[in-house]
Amino acid sequence: MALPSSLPKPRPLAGLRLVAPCAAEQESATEPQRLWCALHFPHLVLAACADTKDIPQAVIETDGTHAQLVACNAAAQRAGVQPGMRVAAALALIPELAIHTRDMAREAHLLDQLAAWSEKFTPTVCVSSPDMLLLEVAGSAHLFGGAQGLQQRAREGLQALGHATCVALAPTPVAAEWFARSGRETVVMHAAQLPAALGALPLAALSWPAVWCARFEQLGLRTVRDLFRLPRDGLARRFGPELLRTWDRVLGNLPDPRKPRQAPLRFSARQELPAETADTAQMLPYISCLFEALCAGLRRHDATTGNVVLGFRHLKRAETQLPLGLLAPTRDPARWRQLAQQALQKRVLPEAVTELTLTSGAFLRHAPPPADLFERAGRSGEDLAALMDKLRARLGRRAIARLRVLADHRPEFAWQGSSRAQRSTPIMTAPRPLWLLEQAQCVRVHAQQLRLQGKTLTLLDGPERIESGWWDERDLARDYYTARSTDGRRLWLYRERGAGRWFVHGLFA
Amino acid sequence: MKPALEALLQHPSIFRPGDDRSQPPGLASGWPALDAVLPGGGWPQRALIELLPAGAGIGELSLLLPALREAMTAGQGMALVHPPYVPYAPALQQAGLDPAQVLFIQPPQARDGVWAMEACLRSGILGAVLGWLEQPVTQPVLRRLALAAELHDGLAFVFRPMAAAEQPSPAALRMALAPRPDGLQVTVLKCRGRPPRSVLVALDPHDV
Repeated sequence: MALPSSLPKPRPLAGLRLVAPCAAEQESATEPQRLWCALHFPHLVLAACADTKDIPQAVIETDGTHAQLVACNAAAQRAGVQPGMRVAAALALIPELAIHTRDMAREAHLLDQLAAWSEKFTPTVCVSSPDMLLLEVAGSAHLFGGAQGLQQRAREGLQALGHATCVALAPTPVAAEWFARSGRETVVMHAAQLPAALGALPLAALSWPAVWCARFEQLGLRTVRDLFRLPRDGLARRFGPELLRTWDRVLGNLPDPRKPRQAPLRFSARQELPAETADTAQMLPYISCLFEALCAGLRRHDATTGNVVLGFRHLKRAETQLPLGLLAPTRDPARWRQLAQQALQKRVLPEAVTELTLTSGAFLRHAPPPADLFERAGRSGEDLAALMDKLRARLGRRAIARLRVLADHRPEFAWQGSSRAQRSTPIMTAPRPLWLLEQAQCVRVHAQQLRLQGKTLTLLDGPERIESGWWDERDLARDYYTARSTDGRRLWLYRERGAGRWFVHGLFA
Repeated sequence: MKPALEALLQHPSIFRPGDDRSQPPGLASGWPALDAVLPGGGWPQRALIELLPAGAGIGELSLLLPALREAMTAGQGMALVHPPYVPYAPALQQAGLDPAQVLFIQPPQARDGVWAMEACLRSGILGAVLGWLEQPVTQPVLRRLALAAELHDGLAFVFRPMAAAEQPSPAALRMALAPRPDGLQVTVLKCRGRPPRSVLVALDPHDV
């Protein structure tokens, strides 16, 4: 088939769809029987920070003054270390204990990933506490071989992902949580069986407020059965109405609505080309058509996005992907088109393209910069990011940096290039040179004179002793001097203490 | 001269050599001796300024620092395109420039450096753009930069090796910089409306 000299004008997109999460389902007490599956991840704290090595490891949490162990791995437990210990006590037991600080953000991220994985069982997945997921499976359990089959599948699947899990099913969310938290893989199908099944659970294993736990102890209450046996009015007097409400929720006498997790919105669309072509100029109208659709979708959700992937499908080979990223998220189709055009200038497609695809990153909340009475002040920061995006699209991500001063006495670690404007944390030092050599250059000593590129150097000022960095094994011990070379250059020299060799580290430009 | 002709010659678009009135005021360089030889009493803005230093580390940046501080006070940024070494953030801070407002651009290829510099000049949001052209460049490339600089509302400096002094250049101002024990010898090679002159700028050692 002969290629037409130019492709016909693109029609509005037909294959456009927004990949939206399913609508939230609300629970109500009058609805038919529900079945909740609770997934408890007892080792999530450890999984979020420790590595898989079989050395004693522990995770600590600090409240500003005291550091307490919140989790430790099996190797540490074998030596007698227990969660709840003070760090000093644990270190006394295992001096080489590897200690990590608790990383709540990573835990939440891990749990979110697990929630996304669990959506294969049901669309209603709720994150109920930092280490617990709740799945509403009444409608879908029969697809996985009933409650037991689903329990087994979930356990095996999560084990393959490397997460030890306790899976329990019960008609109410709190009951399922209680079973899972106390480590019992129970399956209870009917609310009527709940009091008997819950009765044996130890109260201490459930997550109660600390005050209540102490009071349970005082009253000699060990199991849930002990609690259920007490008269309700007495309980209400001692613990307040909240405990009774929990009780009623466990047994299904009170509704317990849960909010399902919302998957982040994404945009994905494809656009078939009327004829195969490798000429990017001919594809541009179609690409801008895709961007128009993306930005219309973004505007409908009052969102913006900062990265998209433009895909080029070929007939006989894998899709060529062109990731585009912006520092300042936008929903302006012209900006995206310009960016794609710039990135395509440097790109040669390996084969003719039959179809274009566009997939967006997560939708971000649209937060326009506040309007400023004096226009210039507000706009400059925004525009600088736009300029950086333009430069990065052509030169690569690493080519452009904004500078930042770090509070470090070691000269090579006292600066950093970052993609965003970040506050500097300067420390007082002697004058520093404007040019820094990334690799210090060796200076020869010849007849008791310092010589660099055939020029003699005269020391002007110094020494400034810098001896720092013993904590991260990149320690240095140097004496810094300023010197003048016979060709008029002012240099920043150092002498290594110990070896006594001389190096140029900067130029006073 | 007839009064009518005199009145006509007062028109700002008429250029007369040696007449400062026809020059737009420049941005004070911070060095009185240098301001005296610069057109308009300072660094010309909206014009490409070409600097030919005898080498790196002779005080070529210190010469510009007072003007750069002035250009960046409005919260505007500065771009360093393809500098020969890493611009050291602690020194910039000591010199009174905000490192977060400094874009450090290292293009993977020298050819991209010219493109990046032109993009920075045309963006119209930077207070100063400094570019280094280590490799020889052709006249059309320099002319493009000079045209972009005319649209740029700020300072535009391009650094080239001393050997480039022999080639013609479309820059509005060309200066050779040579080190002296007590400062920097600035030789004006080309300046619109002024005869070439040479001046010694005593760089304050505390400001270097």
